[in-house]
Amino acid sequence: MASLPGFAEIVHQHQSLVYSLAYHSLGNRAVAEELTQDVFLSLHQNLHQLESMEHVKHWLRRAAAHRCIDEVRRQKFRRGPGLYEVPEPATRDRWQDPLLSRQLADSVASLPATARVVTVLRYQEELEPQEIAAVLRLPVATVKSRLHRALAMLRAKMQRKESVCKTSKHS
Amino acid sequence: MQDLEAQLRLMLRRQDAPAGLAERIVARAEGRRRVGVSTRWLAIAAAVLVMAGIGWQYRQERERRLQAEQTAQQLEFALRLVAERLTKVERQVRGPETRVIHLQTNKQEENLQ
Repeated sequence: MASLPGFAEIVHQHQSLVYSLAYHSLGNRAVAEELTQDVFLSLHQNLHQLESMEHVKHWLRRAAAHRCIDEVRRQKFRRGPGLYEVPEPATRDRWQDPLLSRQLADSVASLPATARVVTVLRYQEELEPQEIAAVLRLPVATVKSRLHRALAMLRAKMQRKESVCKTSKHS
Repeated sequence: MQDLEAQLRLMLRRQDAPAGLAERIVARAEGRRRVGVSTRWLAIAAAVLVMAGIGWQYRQERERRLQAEQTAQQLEFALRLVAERLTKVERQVRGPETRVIHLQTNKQEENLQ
């Protein structure tokens, strides 16, 4: 515990990790912010059990990922798959094709809960399947298969959307 | 769809947290800690009050029992006194009668002789 900085510093350092994971998994800024707050409040209660910053980072990823999966399932039960909000201004100017971005975001939002979080952990956090398996406490083979299936689903959806766009342009 | 993975990396890159989020989290954590501390003190105060209440009640009960015992002893003493007086009075009242009876018996004996 002696090597850990104060709680405020930990929050400043890792807020974007948790918020971003929640935002990409849930597609809603308000819900993502609420979830981020809950994760950090839970960390505040459990901070005495953590020994290093690596441990804190792993704990945050795991807590956020599990909460995201629960929230996605709850949202699906409540009102069906949620749609991504309009991307934040900072993201919009860097993105090449806003339409493509929107379509990809919608496709990611339509993935099943665990597959969605696995995809976000893989491409936002650049985690290897072994690391994702440790975060989600799943077998590595399951993570690999979920990731593979998620990519296949996304590819199929994007191709379908592209072909719809092309046919509507020609007509 | 050139490179799905590259596009995913670009789309899913880290977002900046909203301004003031960290401050809000720290404030909430501080508030919760303060509430936790005050709740703990409230619980301690409640426990002390309950213990004091139980002690007070126990003391009241003991005093009542002592008083009852004292009253019972006083009553017993008073009854004993009354009983002694009554015995004395009874003796005084019965004393001459016994003599009269004795006299009568003596007279009866004289008559018989």
